[in-house]
Amino acid sequence: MTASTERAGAVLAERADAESRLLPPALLTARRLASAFAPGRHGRRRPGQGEEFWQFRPARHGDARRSLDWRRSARSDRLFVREREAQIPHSLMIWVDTSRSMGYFSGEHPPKVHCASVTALALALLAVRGEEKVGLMNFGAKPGSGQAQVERMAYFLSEADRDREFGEPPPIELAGGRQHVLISDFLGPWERIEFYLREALGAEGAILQILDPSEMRFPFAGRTVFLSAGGSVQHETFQARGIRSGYLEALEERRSRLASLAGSLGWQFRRHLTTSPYAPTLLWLLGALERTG
Amino acid sequence: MQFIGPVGFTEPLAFIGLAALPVIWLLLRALPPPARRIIFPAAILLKGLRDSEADAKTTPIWLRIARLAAIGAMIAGFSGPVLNPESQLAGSPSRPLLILLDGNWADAFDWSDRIEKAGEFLDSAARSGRPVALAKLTDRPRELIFKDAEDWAGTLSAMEPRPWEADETSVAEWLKSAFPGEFDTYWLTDGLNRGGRYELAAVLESKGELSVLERAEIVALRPPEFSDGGVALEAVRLGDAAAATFAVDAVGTDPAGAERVLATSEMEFLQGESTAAVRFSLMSEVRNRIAYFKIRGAYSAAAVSLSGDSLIRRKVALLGGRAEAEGQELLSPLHFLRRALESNSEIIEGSLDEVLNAAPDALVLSDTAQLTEFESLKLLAWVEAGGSLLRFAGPRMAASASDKTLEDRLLPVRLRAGGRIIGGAMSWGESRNLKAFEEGSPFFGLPIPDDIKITAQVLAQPEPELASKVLASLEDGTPIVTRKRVGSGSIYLFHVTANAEWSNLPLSGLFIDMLDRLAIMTRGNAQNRRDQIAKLPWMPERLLDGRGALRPVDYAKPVPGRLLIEEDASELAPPGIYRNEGKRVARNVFGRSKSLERARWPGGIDVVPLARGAETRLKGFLLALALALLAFDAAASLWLGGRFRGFPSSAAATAAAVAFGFALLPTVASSDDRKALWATAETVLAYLKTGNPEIDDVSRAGLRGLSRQLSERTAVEPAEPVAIDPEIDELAFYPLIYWPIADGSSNGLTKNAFAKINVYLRSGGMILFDTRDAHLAGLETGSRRAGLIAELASELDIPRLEPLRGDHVLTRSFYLLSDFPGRLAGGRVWVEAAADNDPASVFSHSSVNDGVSPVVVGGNDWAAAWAIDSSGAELFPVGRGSGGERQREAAYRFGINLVMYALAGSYKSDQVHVLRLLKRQGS
Repeated sequence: MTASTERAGAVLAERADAESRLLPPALLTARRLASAFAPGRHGRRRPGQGEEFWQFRPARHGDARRSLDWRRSARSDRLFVREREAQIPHSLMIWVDTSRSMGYFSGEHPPKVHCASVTALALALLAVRGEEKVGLMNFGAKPGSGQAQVERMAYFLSEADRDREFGEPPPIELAGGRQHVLISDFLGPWERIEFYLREALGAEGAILQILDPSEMRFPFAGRTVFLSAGGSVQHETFQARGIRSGYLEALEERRSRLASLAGSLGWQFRRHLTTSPYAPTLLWLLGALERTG
Repeated sequence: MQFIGPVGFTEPLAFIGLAALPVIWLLLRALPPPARRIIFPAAILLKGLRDSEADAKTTPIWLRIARLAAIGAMIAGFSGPVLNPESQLAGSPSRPLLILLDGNWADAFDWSDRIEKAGEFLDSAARSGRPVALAKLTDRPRELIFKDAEDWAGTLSAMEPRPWEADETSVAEWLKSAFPGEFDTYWLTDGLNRGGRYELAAVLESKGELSVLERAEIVALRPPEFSDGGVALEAVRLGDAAAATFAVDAVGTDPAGAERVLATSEMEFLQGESTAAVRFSLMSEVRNRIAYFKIRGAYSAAAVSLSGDSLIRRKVALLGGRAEAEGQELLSPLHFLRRALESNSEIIEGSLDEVLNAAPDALVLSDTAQLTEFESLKLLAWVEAGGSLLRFAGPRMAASASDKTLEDRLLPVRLRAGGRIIGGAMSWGESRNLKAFEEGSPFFGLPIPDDIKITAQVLAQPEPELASKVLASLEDGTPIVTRKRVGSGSIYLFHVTANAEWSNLPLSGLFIDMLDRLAIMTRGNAQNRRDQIAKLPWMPERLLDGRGALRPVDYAKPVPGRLLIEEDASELAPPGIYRNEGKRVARNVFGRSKSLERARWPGGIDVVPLARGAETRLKGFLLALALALLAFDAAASLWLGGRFRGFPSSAAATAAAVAFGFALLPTVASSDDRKALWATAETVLAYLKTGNPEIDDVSRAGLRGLSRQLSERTAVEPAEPVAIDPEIDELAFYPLIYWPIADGSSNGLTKNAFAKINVYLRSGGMILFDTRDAHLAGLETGSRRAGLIAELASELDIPRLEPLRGDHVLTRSFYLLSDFPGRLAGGRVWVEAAADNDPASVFSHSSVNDGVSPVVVGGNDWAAAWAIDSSGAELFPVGRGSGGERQREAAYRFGINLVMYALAGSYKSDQVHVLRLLKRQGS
């Protein structure tokens, strides 16, 4: 048995495990969530190639004869062309941070990665229903369409990226008709985040920051050693309550930096708490994609 | 032992530990609470943040102080601090120690203090390792053994005071030789002057150092006496000179035979006075029952005054043979008897019917009374029931030929007609005196005066049993007093007249003594009485213990009477009630002439007042304090370390305090469920809580009694009854609810409660309403509580009621009953009216409950009749005597029938038709 087949076997087993563990809840939640939305295929609000009627316009010189709408034309003396709404299948590229940092949760809340997955999958489902292509940027996977693609994404998402302590946005391909959604806690070193995001200048997309409530409120007290998810960053305090305000300031600074960076890219930015409901975030995401598109 | 102010320390070396405190302080300073390690992804954001609280790196100062205080308290605790310690024991530490207690009735007043004090000495001796002997003067050990102080602890706690005083002269003699070596002595004494006291002190002083601890706080009662138609007692005290008031209880048996306080009176010592008097004005029926008087709250044999027979005044009925001629009082056959009896007895005169109705103890018949045959039979029946009939001879009796058989039955012996005259002018012989009384005669021991002359007598027919009937005879052997026992009573015959016609016996003191011996009368003449007591042996019946409790005696030897009349009680004749035949004498601790006097100790003896337990050990307290501080420290550390997560910090502190303080409180939650489980797992009788604790207690005790009877007699074995509040409790679990109607409004029930009760009634429950006033006829006429029932009925779904009829199932569901008494009898019991064939009645309870009445209403106070306490003793008297017991039994039977009715419904109603069914089968 070669090393590669061994690894493939391990991966398979892990997937099977993941399927029973993470996929059903995340995907099921995502399906339930998506079913509440009925945007269907979203038109581009301009004439083009598509199925849906967009408008009649008087025929101009050079219009193909078969593009004439005879029925409409018969009602008047002029010839009309039936235009359809442009429906170029877009590609939606989603990045879900699955690093160890995203595996964090406090109390009874789900881990951040779960929330990120649910949001991503629900978005993907809606996109697939709109006959758009969806892809996961994590593994450089190509965009695809159909339910199968979503399930494939779910499999990928079920694999946590144990090696990484903080997620770094993947390189973004500047291809036409692509929209990007980046979901992470964006708590890694700022330079790295900024470096990668700046590369995305010219692409369309949205940034969703997912945080745990304890990260928002900092409910700690007493002598505490804070360790980052991988243990690379340590901070010891003798009275955690005392540094709360400093932390909250730093968190706010991180948010404003992210927001201004997104603004400079022409992207949308939003923060989501693992305790808050998904629907408003999902609605916002859909709207953000409409706006940038 | 070392001392700091009033505090001594048994292990002062432990204080060396205090030297470590500064080091501990530094250590605590350097040891902040341990850090928690928390995974926190946003840790990167914390970079560069500095702790703002300057002293956060070290433990807060108040916590350090608390910890030091805890350690300090522990060190102080282990050093064995004792507050007000019994300072150095007297004498040299090398000598053994004797702890001596008086152990008499005077000690009993504050016995527990004395025991505690002796215990302190034992402790001190244990600490210094001195061997100890413990002795009580009233039970002196055979030899003096000194052993480890710990070995005496059990002996000490088992010591009880005695109701007599020790002979200290003999103790002194004994001590001289009991132990050859030297020893020091602590003598805890009552501080009374008494013979031998100073000799004993001298002996003890010769052996080593003697410390006397004395306290004399004594209140003693002298024997009761008649005075001005009442009973008077004198009390003597020593000690406190301030004005003080005591309650004195007169205790005796009630008609049901239970001992109880029959009367209470106040006794007041004026400022500086050492005596006080107390008076009881009592009806003779009550007075005759009194067994003893007791000062309430004083636990000593001296605070009890036994009365024996001395307060009993017998009722004696005098029945003259014929109407007396006016002006011939001295010739009246009853004159001398009346004079003899009137001072000590109650005399009843009248017709036979009248006097028998007054239930006399004795009846005196002079000469032949003209009794009808019917009256004679009645008299005989009375004698058989325990009466004493005393007859005197007379000319008429002598003349009557004794052929009337009935008359014979009222005489101890058959008489020869005629009688005889001796020593008269026409006779040969001389008048005779009495022969000395023989042993076995009730008169045995009475001195016979020389001047008694019998000049005439009636003579008994010789017969085989004559000898056994003779109680006294003349010098020539002819009977002069004879007795016959009839049933449980006796008939006595004096063969002479009751006046001075035939003899001068009725004029003599002997006559009174004889009447006294026959228990026809009791007498108060102290000197005579003492003389008589001295001559007889007496059997102890009940004896006092040192603390003044009167206990029955299981086995005892007779005590010679001379011991009983001695000044002081002794071990041989302890205080108590003694008995000889029908007579009882009381031997009291405190006689009429006994006085209380303080001991005057010779100079040179160290006399200290006995102070109540001053020594307090602080070790436990200090260790508890240390523990509490450590618990506080734990809570505070958790709080400081942020371990109380999810709480606001102040709430955490509060929660810690609450958890600490209330951890021991029982949980109240889910008690309803437990009650329900209890009620469904067993058959449980329930009563409605009225909110009046007295009524509730009676209800509870009553249902307990009924439950017990049910368990004993039937297959129903109910558990302990429960109180229910219809407001809160589910009623459906209880087959029967007892509802006593309390005065006041309708039990303050709300609509909700009434609705629940209505549901209960409709779903087959049963309620027994009890107005407890036996006037339930007042359902129509309106007693106050019946009004309350009406008020309740307006809210409750109670059907039309009718008086319980003889053919109701309730009269035959277990026992066959015709009436339903409780503590009270006679009240009518109401149940639901029997269904008449009214179509509307289909919807009445009868059809719902299978003809079982949902309510039973009465007023006989059943719970009181059923009530028993936890030891099974009945709580309330019912009726009188055996009739009362029958009534109680009937009450229980009613209760059992009722429970059967509630449980089995109309099951037994077929029995109503049994006669008809049998008849039908027969035809």
